[in-house]
Amino acid sequence: MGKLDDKIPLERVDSYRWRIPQRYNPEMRVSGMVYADDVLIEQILLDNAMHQVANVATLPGIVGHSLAMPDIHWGYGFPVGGVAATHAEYGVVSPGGIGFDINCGVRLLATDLLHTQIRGKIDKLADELFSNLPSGVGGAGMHQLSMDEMHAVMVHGAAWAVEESYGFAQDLEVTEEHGCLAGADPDAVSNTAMQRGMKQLGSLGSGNHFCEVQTIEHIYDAEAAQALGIGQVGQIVVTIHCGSRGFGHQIAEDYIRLAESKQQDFGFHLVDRQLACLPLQSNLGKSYLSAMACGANFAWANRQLLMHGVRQAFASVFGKRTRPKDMPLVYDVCHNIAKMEEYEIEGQMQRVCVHRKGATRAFPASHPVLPEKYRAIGQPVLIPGDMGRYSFVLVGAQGSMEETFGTCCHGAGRRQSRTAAKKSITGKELIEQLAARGVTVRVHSKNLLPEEAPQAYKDAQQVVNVVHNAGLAKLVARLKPVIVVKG
Amino acid sequence: MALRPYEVFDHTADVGIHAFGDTLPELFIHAAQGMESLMVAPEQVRESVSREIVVEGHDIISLLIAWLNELIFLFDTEYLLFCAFEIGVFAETSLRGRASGEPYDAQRHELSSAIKAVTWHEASVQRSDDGYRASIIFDI
Repeated sequence: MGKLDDKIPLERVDSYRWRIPQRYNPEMRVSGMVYADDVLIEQILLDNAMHQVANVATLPGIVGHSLAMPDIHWGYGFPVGGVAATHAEYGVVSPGGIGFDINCGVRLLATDLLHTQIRGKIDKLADELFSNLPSGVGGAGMHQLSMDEMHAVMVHGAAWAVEESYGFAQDLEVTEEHGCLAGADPDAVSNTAMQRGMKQLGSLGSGNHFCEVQTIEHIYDAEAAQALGIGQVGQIVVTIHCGSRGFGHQIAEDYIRLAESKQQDFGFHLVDRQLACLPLQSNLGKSYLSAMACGANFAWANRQLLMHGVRQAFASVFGKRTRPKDMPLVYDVCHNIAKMEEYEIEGQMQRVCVHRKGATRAFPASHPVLPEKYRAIGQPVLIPGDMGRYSFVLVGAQGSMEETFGTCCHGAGRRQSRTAAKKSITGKELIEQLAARGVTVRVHSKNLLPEEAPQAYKDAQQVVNVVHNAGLAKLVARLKPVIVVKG
Repeated sequence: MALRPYEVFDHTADVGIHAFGDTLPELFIHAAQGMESLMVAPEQVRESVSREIVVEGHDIISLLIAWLNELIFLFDTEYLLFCAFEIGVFAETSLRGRASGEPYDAQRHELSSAIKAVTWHEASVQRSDDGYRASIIFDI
């Protein structure tokens, strides 16, 4: 921690915005801006997340504000739900500001099945998904990679998977960056990282990652929902939440260690070692971005393989009624990433490195990078809630370009520690509680399940209401869980 | 011998440990035991295999993180859980040691967490009259 007062001097801007002034910590280069309503701000103030927003504001070359989304909670270095843009010429990239799970993200598939049509086959579908999607600790991935294949995955991302017949070319059109971040260079990645990745492609892992079959419970915006192919209440959709597994974790570890050892050389004195950073224009900074792109590409290939497993499971349970082609990918977003993007800042277009640590890109309608079919409505934003209540689909709105470097929230955000969650309920009780709500669960470790209990999370509805009301994104649909598959 | 080898503390999304030791090698061994205990109860792990561990750091904290991260790497690549540790050679920026345990067996090992990474957030190694104390937060 830096030189901090005990109490955060939060200044209310309006119903959904709070400022942390620079006077809070003399080392802050910009002020902090937190998006929350009266209820969420109380929950946010219960942990150290606000100090971390202030710490991020000390990063060299940070522009605008150090931003916090309404799902923010205490992370390490950056808060989870934190966003920071640094100037491309004189700013830095902080590997910890992307996080250990590089390109952790979410994808959503549509089906033309209705909830009423699958009721008799829920258990069969749950079993099939559980066996098709390797998960849990020690679960080897669907595709064991050779070193040559590992290189191809690092460079080509989801396109490699499509080449290998895991999915279709159309899937890439609706994946952020088409499933391949440019600039990936395997030479920037350690052998240790590659060894961790080679066994794990096509696996969910554990923690908060999951595959959920959901039904559309409510539609807020019929036109947008139609355009996304999720326009019918009762329709079945599938969400996959996963990242780059041990491969990304090791890339992050390697570069945080490297950056940490070079802070004095660069003349940086950071308030938290996890914030260790590299100038964007330095060779090391460029090297990190090349390695991060490899991690991001691995994650997109990973989600592409997992989606293939989901399509196979549906085909095997429902036969010709649901062929893989009948389950289009709606969109895939990443929520742990750094991107070089351009924004108008103080009247001038500036190129910046946007760190999204537990935050989702939310570009509005007519943005040139959006796929043609979504250009009129905006970029889909996928917000998983918790396994008992609901998840949400939104589309980006103009406010995100003006205020948050094209970004909004990423999930519900934790409010209870893992230990506290475990103490409050057993795995068996939770499974029964979820069954009573109509949610079927398949999980490897019943011990781990309570850590992800709905009560451990903030209310995702409150979180998405804030970003909707603040004009960062627009609500499209609410999804209710039917089947949850976890590690 | 330190009064208690380690204790676990809470973090909103993750979990941390405080480790204690009369000497730095003892501190490192207790930190490793503490981290492994987050994954599985030590009494469930037998000593059937061992691995030599050689790591380097640029200071004591980076050395501790490298030591713990090597154990995570061995779990990720070989599914090895460890219960016993020894450190042969210890210098401030390098160490050579050995970890003993066995591969994860879903039938016998009741896993309670899987650790993604060792974080640098508020990581510390401090010396007092009572010996050494380390704090480490893990990404779960």
